[in-house]
Amino acid sequence: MEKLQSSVLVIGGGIAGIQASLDLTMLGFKVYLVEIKPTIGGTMAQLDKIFPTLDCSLCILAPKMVDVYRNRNIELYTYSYVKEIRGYTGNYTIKVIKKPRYVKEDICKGCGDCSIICPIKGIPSEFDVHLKTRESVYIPFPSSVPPVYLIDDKNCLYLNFRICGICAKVCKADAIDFLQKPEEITLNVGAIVIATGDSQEMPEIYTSFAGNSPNVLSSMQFERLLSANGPTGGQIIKLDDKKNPHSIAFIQCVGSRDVHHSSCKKYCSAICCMNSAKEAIVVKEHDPNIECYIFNTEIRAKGKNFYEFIEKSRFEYNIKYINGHVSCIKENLDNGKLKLYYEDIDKGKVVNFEVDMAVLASALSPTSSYYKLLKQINVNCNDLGYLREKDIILLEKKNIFVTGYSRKPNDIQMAVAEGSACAAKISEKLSPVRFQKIKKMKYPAEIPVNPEDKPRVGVLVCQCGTNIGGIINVSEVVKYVSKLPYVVHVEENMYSCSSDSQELIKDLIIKFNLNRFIVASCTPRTHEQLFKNTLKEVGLNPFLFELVNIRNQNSWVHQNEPEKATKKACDLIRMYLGKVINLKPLDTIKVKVEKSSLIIGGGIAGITAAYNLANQGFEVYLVDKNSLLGGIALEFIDLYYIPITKNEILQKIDDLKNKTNVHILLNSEVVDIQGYIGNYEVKVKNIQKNSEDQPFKVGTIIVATGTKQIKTNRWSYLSERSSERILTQTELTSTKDVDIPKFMDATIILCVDQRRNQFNNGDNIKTYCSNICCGVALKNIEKLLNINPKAHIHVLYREFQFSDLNAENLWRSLRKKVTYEKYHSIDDIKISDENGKFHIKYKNIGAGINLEYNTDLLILATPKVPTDGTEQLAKLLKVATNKDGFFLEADAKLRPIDFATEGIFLCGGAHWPKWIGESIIQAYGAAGRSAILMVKGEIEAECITCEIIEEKCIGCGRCAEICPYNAIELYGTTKQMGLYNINIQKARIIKAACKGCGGCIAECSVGAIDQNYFSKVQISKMIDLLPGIELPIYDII
Amino acid sequence: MSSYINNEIKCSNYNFQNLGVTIKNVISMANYCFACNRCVNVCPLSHLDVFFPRKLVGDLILSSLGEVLTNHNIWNCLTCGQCSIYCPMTQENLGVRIPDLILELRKASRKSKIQINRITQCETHNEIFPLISKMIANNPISPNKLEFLKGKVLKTADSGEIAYFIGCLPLMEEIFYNFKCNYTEIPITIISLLNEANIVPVVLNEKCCGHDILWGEGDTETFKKFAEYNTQLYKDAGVKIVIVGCAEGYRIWKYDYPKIVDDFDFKVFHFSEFFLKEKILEHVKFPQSSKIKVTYHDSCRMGRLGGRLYNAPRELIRQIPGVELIEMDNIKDDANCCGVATFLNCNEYSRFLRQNRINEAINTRAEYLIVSCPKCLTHFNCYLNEPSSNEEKKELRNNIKVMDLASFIGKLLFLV
Repeated sequence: MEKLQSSVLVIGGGIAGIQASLDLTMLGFKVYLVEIKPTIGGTMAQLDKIFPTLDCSLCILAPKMVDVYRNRNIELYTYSYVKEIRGYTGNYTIKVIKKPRYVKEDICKGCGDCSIICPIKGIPSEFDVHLKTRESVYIPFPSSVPPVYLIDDKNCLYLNFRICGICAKVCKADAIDFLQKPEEITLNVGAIVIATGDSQEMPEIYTSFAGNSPNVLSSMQFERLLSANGPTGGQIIKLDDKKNPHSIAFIQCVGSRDVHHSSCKKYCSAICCMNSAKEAIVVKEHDPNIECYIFNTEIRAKGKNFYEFIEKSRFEYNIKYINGHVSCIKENLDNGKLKLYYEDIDKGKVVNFEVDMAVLASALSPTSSYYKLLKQINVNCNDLGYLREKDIILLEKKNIFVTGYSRKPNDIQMAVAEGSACAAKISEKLSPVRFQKIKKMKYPAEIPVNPEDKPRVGVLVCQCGTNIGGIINVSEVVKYVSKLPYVVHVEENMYSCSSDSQELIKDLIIKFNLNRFIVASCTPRTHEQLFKNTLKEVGLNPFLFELVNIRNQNSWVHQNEPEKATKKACDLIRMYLGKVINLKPLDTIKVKVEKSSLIIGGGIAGITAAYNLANQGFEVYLVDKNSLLGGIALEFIDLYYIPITKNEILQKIDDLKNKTNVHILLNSEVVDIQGYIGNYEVKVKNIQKNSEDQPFKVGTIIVATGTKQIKTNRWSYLSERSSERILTQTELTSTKDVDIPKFMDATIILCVDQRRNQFNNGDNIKTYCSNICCGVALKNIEKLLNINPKAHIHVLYREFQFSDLNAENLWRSLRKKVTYEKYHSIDDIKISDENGKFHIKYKNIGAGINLEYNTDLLILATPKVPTDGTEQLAKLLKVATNKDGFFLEADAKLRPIDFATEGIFLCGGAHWPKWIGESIIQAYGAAGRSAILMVKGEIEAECITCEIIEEKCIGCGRCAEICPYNAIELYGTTKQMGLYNINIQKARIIKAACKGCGGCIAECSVGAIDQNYFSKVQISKMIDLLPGIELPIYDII
Repeated sequence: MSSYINNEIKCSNYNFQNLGVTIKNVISMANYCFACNRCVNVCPLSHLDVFFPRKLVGDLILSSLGEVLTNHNIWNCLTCGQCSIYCPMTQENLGVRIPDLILELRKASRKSKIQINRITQCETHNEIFPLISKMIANNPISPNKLEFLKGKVLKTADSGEIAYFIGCLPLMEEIFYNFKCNYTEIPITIISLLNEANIVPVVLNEKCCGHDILWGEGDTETFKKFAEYNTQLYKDAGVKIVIVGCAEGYRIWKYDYPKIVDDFDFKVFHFSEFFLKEKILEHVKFPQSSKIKVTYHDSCRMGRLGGRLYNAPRELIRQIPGVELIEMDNIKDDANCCGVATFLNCNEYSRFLRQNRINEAINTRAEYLIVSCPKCLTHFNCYLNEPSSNEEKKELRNNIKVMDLASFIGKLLFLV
């Protein structure tokens, strides 16, 4: 047998690469993460906000970046590229070139002293898309990972002229090394993930859009402008005269959806419409008086509740959408404004219009390093600049996986799902060699710390180069702290985070017999775990530690008041001392996880997940209500270049039936689920026999219940007489060709009862866009033309939502037999039944005239809704659904396939109507995420959890109701109270599921809940010590 | 006086305030007791094995105060006053008077460490209510409680003879938003009906009445600040008559303020008394005709501790056409406690008391349980809205609705 390598190369450290890497290490594989830029984070790090949640992008990304940095099983090669890929499936030899940073990565602490002194300034910053400048020695952005500086060899005086070198002199850590050379590293890996992400070309190339004007920005530049750490500190100002703009135009489809110009992209970049809406909303939140115009040909909002986001921007934020593509922008030199020329399609007029700023939603494409990689592995891309589906499948057979924007234009949510999906696919292929290269840490036995032991606290005060030491008088702080009670030893040092400091901490703990430790330095976000690990290595419970932030919250913000900052440092340390001496050691709880999974729903998503998990060696219970597996996917399968054929699905179903570790329960539904992550007990009922099967135990649950299409009440007067000639799209698809009534003229009406605003609500009328109807319509056109090649087909549409690579080609090729006709509102379409024909009358947008014609067949794109029983299932699983009844994921962007409740995952249509390809990706992702929990057979529960004080609890159940993780259960008990014997309820925390968020504590009206490590006593002691230490010593504890 | 000396020695680690006076007072009260045990027979907590008034009183005479306070948790007492009703040795200003005795002990011992711990143990809602009170007391500007009057066509005045004291209702509405108790319906109804009778009440942004801080924490300093502020405020506005809409405010204005404010010169009425006096409801036409069955819960602060104001609210209910009052088994002096006074002690015992009282009300088959104290209103509704065993509760909620007397009237008249 060929030798499999238990390691994976991930190329690209954007969100897709990060997600794949983190998942892979948890699945038991070593990861080499190679990133060409000096930091990981990719595009997402540059964004200010993300749609549709409007969360701060970096705030939710940075923890993941730090996770990568801390992960012992990820070897991170930044500022590096892949030079060569050799070998064969499962055993590749990779040559990686690590470019010289001229700063020693393991020694630099990122203090920034070098950058401040560097005389070369004014170099355009790549991170800020040239809107901001940097020094020759720099870090891309403050939360870069690794947090290490580098020297730009094109601009450095020393490297070019052998003069200066001042950075080496000021560096207290001695990290500058001008002698560094490119390093070649050879890696052996079993699989490769290509996640090289996207790039956006600079708008300068578009001369017709006045790209040279400082007031014309690309959407990424504008994103930087909005960002608080961007060039203007988040102020929206014009870059030439620094004045506030009064109006901003967002121009969509710049350089994309263009088959004519060779420098333009032929496809739709998929995210620009949402991105511009988001940017416009952020502008409005900064200043509601700035007018925002979005010029578009059609708005493509593909994603869960994305259309409603657009509607929100339109109505709540008063952002104006103009249906018309801007053809040209000219600078008006008289008033410095920009003049836009466009046709307002709704009004049918050519207009020009002046704005202060223009933002070009310019096309996104794969990066140049992507194409270099493709050469390495000998594959070509198609005329769109992307890999063909069949090539992707071939590559996957060779253990090479393409994900994120380099696979298809997609948003962050899909990139995350795809990252997890890649990990699942690799886990399936490399499962025989799992855990072979995973490092496990061994820690010494814990030093017992009893509550009655007198606290002995050690304190380390960090100077952080000049970051802290330059402002705060650290020796004075040390002197003050040494006099505080319970402090046994205190000292200052240059970098508390350096590896020699870790040794120092260990030595101090042993030498002074310390049982508590405080480091006063920087932010816990990046460094707390490091110090906690150090404590663990010396045998002290890591929860007897506190990190006091005297940098970000002190020396940085009080740079001009060094004396007050010094006092504040003393105050902060004293307060934390109050907490630290009241800390208790916390134990890590291990929870057993059953190595089996319940998959609810046997459609394409359920089958894919089952297949993947079964091949990884887990028990799988696949439950479906129907008598056959396959779901609606089997009916839709012939559309597009879907990565799987009908025969392959049928083959997979057969394979599943033959696997001994797969239990297929057809005609069945789940009737009861008890337990928590890793330990669910499931009861399933056979609907046909009306009998309950033997209950079984599973560790994880995957929900894949799918969608269905509903009927409409609209034009009900027609269906009374000629119902057989009115079909929904699904009905048309599933009806045999011969059963469809004869027709010469057919009409497909899109957006029936969907994309309606809130004022039109009613039964079966939805505000959302089902996203897939437009694409399904294309397939149905093919089907209709197949039945009657001579027929004429009308498609009445509002906005086509296929931001898919190939959809536009298909749309174009069908145009010969089909007229695509745009209408404004469904209410404008009048249909009457005349002599066996439908007479249609509506106002055409574009032509601007009323059209009337007769048609034989009506095909309606009615909304897609969750399948029956979704609500009951949500109750059984105790998970939330959104207002439309679809299951609610943990986070719309970064956890699209997880539920907030651990151990339950979501994929396919149950999440949102979606394409088969996307369902498959999500299914793999869900399988991978659940395999993460099952591979080890146990998980470590969160240590910082809540605790219920039993005698105080009155069993009202409010905590259980509010807990987002279902980590609280109620149990009944009886109690003798005086003359009475009373049945009472009590709440209990399921430690395995509790995340320690503390929501229950706020809700509990009787104060029966407290939180470990942040207990009420610990916090109130901190507050007690805020004004000073006048309290008697014994009162501190 | 041997026990007195003993006390002084043994209590050295107790930081008593006005130790001499308190002990003298307390012991003189305790000395009336002849151990008839009637208090224990009626005390709801002694049935539950939690608190024993007779033993406390007995121990006060025999042991040191320090020991008594260690052995008895004085913060557990609900101060419901049931004991005083049956105590043969209690008169209005004389005798054992257990609630007053408890209050004295609370006042004296509240600053010692062991008692602080006990208070913390009993506190509910993360101690937000005493915190709010203290913040209001120590802050020259009190929070604007009159926001809810905005946009309403209610006539109020800044000075005049008749004042209406709103109390903490608007604040409670902010905190207990999830029960939909609609506390501010109470002042809206009362002011509307006063306006209806051509009375324009003085409504000022007074501070908290101080009930909870006095009875719950024994904090006389803070309480005094409230008493002085509020009485001065009304004095400056020329007020002679104070109408109070809630039971606790009534007790405080009528019985506790006069004790602490030197020249207290106000006539205090519960709104039901005032409405009867002015015959306000007699002139109002009620639009509804259907029959409504209601029952009425007497609160301790208006009943046993509030001059036994039992008949006025009942009379007011009788004046509403179509409303039939069905009494529960235990009413007036014997009315069972709602379980929680002063936002102290919400625990499994007090929940049991609440449950019993609700069941008593349900047994009358009335549709509404009318209460006159916002605390009763909160705690009954809290019980009914518990998410645990939802189905069972849903049935209870279908059976009975808990409503304040004023809100009930307001609802019937479509005033709210």
